[in-house]
Amino acid sequence: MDFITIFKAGLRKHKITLIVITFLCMIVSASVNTAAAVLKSSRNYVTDEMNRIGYGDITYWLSGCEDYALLAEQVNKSDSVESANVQNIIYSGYSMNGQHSDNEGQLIAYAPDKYDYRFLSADRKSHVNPQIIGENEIYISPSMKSSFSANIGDTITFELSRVNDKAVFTVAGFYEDPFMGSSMIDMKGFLIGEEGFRNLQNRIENISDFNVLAETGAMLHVTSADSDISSEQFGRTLRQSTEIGRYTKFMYSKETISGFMLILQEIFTGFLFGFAAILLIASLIIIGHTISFSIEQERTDIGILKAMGCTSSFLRQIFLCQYGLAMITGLFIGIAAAFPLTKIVSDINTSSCGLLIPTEISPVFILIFTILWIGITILFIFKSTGKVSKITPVTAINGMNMKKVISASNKIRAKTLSVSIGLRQLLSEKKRYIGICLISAILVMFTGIVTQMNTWLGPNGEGLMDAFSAADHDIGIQPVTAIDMKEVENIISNYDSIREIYGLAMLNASIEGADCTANVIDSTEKFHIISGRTPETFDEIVITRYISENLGISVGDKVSVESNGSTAVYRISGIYQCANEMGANIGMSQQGYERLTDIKKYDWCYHYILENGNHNEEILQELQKRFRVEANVHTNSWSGLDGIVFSMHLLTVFMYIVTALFIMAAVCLEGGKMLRSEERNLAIYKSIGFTSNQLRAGFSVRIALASTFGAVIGILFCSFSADSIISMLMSHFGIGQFISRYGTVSAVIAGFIIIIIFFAFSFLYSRRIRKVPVSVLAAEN
Amino acid sequence: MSEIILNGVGVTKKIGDNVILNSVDIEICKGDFTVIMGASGAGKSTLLYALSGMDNITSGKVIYREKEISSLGEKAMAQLRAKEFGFIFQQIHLVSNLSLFENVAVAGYISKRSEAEVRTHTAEMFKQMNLTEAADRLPSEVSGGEAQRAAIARAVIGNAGIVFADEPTGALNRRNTEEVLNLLTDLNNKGQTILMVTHDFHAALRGNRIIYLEDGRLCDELKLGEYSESDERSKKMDKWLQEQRW
Repeated sequence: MDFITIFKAGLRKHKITLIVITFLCMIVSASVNTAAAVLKSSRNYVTDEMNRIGYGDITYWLSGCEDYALLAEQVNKSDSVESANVQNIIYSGYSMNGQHSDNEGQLIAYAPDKYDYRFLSADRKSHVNPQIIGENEIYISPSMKSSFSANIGDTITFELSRVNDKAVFTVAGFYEDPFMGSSMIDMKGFLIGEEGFRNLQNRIENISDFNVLAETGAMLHVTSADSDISSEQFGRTLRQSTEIGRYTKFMYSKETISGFMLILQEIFTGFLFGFAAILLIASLIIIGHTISFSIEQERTDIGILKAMGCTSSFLRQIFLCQYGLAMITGLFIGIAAAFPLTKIVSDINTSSCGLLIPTEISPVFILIFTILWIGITILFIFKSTGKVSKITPVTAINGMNMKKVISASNKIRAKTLSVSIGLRQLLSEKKRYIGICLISAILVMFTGIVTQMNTWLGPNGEGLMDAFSAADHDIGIQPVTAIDMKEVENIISNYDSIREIYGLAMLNASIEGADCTANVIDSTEKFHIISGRTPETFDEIVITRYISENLGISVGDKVSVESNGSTAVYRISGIYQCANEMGANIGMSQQGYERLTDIKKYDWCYHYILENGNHNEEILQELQKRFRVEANVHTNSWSGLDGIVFSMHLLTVFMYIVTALFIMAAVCLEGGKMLRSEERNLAIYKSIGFTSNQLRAGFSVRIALASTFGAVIGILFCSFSADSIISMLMSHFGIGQFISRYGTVSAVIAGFIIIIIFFAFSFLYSRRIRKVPVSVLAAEN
Repeated sequence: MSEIILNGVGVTKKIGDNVILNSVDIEICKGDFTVIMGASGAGKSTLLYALSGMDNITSGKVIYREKEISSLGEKAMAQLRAKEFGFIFQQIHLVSNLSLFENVAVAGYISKRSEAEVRTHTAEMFKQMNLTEAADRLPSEVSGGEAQRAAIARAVIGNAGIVFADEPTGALNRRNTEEVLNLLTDLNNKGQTILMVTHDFHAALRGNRIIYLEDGRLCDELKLGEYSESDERSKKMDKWLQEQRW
């Protein structure tokens, strides 16, 4: 028998099915390759850029030191240190486009011979050659585009002193800051010319101590001599052997900063990978079902071919080539589509990540993925075509061994005729609907998780804000000089009622020698406790899950905490939630911290919890206007949050669109086969007076009912497991516990949407019922 | 003269250059049992489906009870099928996952009659047709005769004005053929209009009016009168068919 002739005939006969399979495989392949490319390129690029610009294993942000070079020399002398390099900076508050920053900015001198930052084009879509920075020019991170609506030509004003001493720069372009360019980091670096930097240093030195607001300082990039040592151990050694602790404002290990820089990419690609895996499973279910259906419908042809001398193995090879061709074509189109998709994702993420991630897809990954895909394709198609061997020429041609018709017992009702007939068909041929049911279940599971994540995130990123805060608040105000707190309260009260006020100080400390931030609070009941309890006595603290896992300590353990040179022993009373510093923080009471050292007056930030919380932005602006230089004011948010929320919402929309396309493909494949096999019944119904629309409704009801069964499974799964699955994902980013009050609601919403999409597409697809002629029942046919 | 309920005027059906029906004029009167005969490929079934609105015609008109149906839209045509037309096919075209009873009742429901009324009517018909025992069985679980009797019940459950039967005994054995023909004769005796296509001489004898079709043209017509099992009727038709070179 001529293989090519039968193969070509099969391609012609199944062309629509094969095109849809190609499309499904293309979606899966494009998703996997895009996710892999974004993840790998991001990780490589962030690490490479951090190394290239000179980030140490730990970088310290220092202030208050007379001679940073001397300090670096002292650090360099330590046996554990390979190198310690100083990069001078200026800390200063700033405002732009009417928005005041709630965190200090850092002005960095552009010295290409030492720190060769990369610049971006005006549209932030390509790199450009190194720039010469004019005296009043400044380069900013692309993430300021989303947080401050920054554009080239805008001005940024830095507050140098209380007496109206300002430095004004014009934005000349964008540059990549691999240390703090991400929206996840509220501190921002600004690149200015060396000349301008020196001028600023001089101006600040000439301002009296009483009036000065800006501060000169430095980043000290310290690299460990021992590559095996952990950053916690390294930090502990430095703290013990040098004076670095005295001048440290804050410090971050390389892993922590790259974690912050990559957090969005990791969440993004995590979801994309999960999505691709779900699509792969769903595709295999549909394709398997389609093959099985095709064999069922072609029993007679298969029997005739066998009677003509074709072996089962020969016929299975034909199926393998037909479906394999579609699946492998889909794979390659998907790989090709991943290139522009990666570029799109990279461009979208530039405003959040602050870096223009190159769009490279690893040839090794493509090769491995292709080999795996071909392997899966061959095994899967061979398994799915197993029943070809069981068809003999006689049984096929005589129509023997055909499926026995089983009828369900639901009553056919006159009032709900289409629905009850649809239900009868569904229950009588359950196996045919298993594919739809399973696809619906897994899509609901996934979209339920995504919806839950989105609900948790909230329209303004409330979930993320809460996860990163030690305690809830609407407005925070940290005076840097004496202000009248009564006036603050009056301003707030003009907009909203104040429910509670508490104080929080974020101070530098170490636990068991590992650097961390101490969240010191005057109302310990405000901490987000996950397990155990909040500190009740002065010798108790709470720790994050990150600290617990990294230091191997838990509730009940006694640990040593150090700050400002004093050490005391505390008992861990509970685990609490605060993803700040990627989870490297502890919580303690005011009395607890005061065992170590006094808290300075201006270390306190006063947090206000408001009755409604829907005028926070107006309150923020009013307070910033009134206390422009006297206090730092913030909401329970940070300036880059909008960009992150936008990216996550965009990802959700993308996933819903792809899910809809996927359902459309599933309906085409499964529904197409069903309608073909039901042509005779459809003609019978038409002959007794059913309209095409009634039959279409019946068909759509069946598909919708099958998807409803699946959706229920998905909803149950989501209700019980979504929290823990998202928790698992989030724990990588220091968000130790994910609790959503809307778990079941989100899953029900997702389920409802999926069912509606199934119903809508099956109704649209069933337009072909109109073309089924009653004359197919004629004796002459 | 009886009332004409179905009227075909110049009914023509072409597929490409091939003329299947060539300007056929035909009238079907109320209460008639009209049989269309002809050689294989003469266009018998095509004419039946053209007159019943199941197939489009190339030109001409089909008028049912003074209303032209050849240009009706899908919805109006579906209503006509539900309330006025009944169909019996050669193959046992029953819905495979509905019981015999349900196959019949569904046709009653679609004609917008109440569920209780349809169920009572169906049960009565099943009793008359000796189908009560098979009522809850699926089409695959009953004999061809039982299934075809159920198909006849389905055709008339909606009080159809006319029943179109396309070779209704073509797939049945002798005993079942006789049962089905008796049933059709009974229905006709009660006033049911029937238009049947057959190439079976004995089946055709049940009609009171025989139309002969050749190459898509209406050639001749024989009036037989009310059915009786007489040799004379048989001889008359035999002679007529010989004249038609059947």
